[in-house]
Amino acid sequence: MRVTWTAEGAVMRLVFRLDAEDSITGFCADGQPLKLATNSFRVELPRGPHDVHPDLLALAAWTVVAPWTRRAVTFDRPISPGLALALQEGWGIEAGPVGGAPRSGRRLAISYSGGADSVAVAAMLPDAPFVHFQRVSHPRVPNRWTHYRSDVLARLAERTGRELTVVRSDLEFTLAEPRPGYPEHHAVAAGALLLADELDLGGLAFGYELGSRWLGGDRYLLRYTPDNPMWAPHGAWGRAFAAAGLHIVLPVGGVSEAVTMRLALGSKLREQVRWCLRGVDGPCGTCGKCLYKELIQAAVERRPLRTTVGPKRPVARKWQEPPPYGGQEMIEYGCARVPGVEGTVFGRAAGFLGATEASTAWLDRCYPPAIEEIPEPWRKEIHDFMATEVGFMSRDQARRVETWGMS
Amino acid sequence: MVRLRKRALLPAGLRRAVRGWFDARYISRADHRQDIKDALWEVQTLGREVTALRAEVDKLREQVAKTGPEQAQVRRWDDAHRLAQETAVAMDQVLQNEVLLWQAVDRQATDGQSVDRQGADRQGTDRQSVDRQGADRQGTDRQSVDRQGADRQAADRQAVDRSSRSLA
Repeated sequence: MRVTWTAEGAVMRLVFRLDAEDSITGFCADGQPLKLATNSFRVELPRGPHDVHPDLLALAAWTVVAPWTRRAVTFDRPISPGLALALQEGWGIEAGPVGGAPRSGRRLAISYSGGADSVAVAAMLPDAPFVHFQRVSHPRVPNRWTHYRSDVLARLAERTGRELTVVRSDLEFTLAEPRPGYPEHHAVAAGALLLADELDLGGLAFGYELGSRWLGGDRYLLRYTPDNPMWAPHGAWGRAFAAAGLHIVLPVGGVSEAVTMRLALGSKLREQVRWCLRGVDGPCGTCGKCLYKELIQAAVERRPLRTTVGPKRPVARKWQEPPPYGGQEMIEYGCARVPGVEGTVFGRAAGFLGATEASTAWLDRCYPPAIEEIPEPWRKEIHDFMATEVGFMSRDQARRVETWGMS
Repeated sequence: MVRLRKRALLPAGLRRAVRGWFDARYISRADHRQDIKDALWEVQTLGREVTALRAEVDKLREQVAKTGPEQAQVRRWDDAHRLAQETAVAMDQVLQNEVLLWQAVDRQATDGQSVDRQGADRQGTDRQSVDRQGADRQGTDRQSVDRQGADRQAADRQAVDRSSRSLA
């Protein structure tokens, strides 16, 4: 893989070319097969052009091209030996040319999406600036996904009143299958990487929570993953980001989506919380994500489920089938707490899971190792917040995390 | 009353007075008749109104049916939708093929160079391929800001030439 950045004012463009051994089908760090759509994208920064450290340029490119790189990656500027080593050890990829000095920064920014998880992070770190990634159409790929209202999310981010940088990019359209999206989960940080020098960033906080970091949630393994390659600090991606002087920080990595939901809905940014990608004046209430989040919200608010989605709808189909489910811990949590859940679309899942409030109580507490792995400069603030607002898991509760998906 | 009549012989005057007193407490027969007539009239009026409303609903339904898209129109829309989907899929293929084409071009160029140069140092080859990438980008990327329109066209032609050579 060979990558070339060019800057046109504040717009950074990247073109990449496959080496002989690279191919159209590659794999995300979570194992998902991905098909390449096209080999160029742009990132529009609010100001520019900037003099960006070569390691940041290289890592931003790597968040997109990694799935399709088999043997070697050639950047257009020499990278630091540390980053080359991280790519070598994390992926077995030969990266070069090597020759630069490493970089570092001091501030912590939040990769802010506007969902409950990142709002919870924002509530924990009231002084941290936001970097928001906004999807825009790619000039070469027809946009068949206009229901994705990234403009609405960007507007909501502006209404938070926080220090905010919106980065617009079409990099998601480099991915053809399964659908446009981040080739690697870390591509959401492409803008933050390119801005890291200007904002003096030494860390980037993501809203990835307990399920994503420790329980192998979403499309990943669905079991306890202390060595998660995406989010563990000693995993491939954690080390690559650290080598580029922008540490991955997961302030809510130790708590479940029930806790992030509670923190988000209790925060000053409550009005700006939006997990739905489709709704304009509010969440659409009909997509799969709305349904899933409604279960969690109903559980947190201890009220019956409010939804118009019936069991026959495609978004509700998977809950009619037996587990495992992605995000299963939250389905258990919801089914154990929502009054009258038997009569809802989650009724069958509730029957399969047989969860109780006692069996899901661990999801209301923070998993202590998640705090220990937060980089030192920001650990105390996050630790103190967790101690006062959430509380830590007991030894037995922590064992629930550590045996997840094993029985 | 019947029992009363049997048991006690009341003077006719008193009886009439008592009866009158009882009757005064109820609505008269004439009033009942009038009420029934009024109710009947109301029912008939409502019946007529319902009939009129039904007719109007039917009329509006007809109008809606008339203003709705014609079958041919619907077919055209479906067709356009299908075409859009298929075009998008085809476009994906074209874009992917372009990536593969450049991969083939680069492989050919690298092979050719390494044969030509007979062990030229690898660093130099890399440098050149990076430079060439910059030039090729102009060819690849038709959306880029057109800095040198004519040059770009030339580059495009060159790029096509190169690719057809390497495929031959």
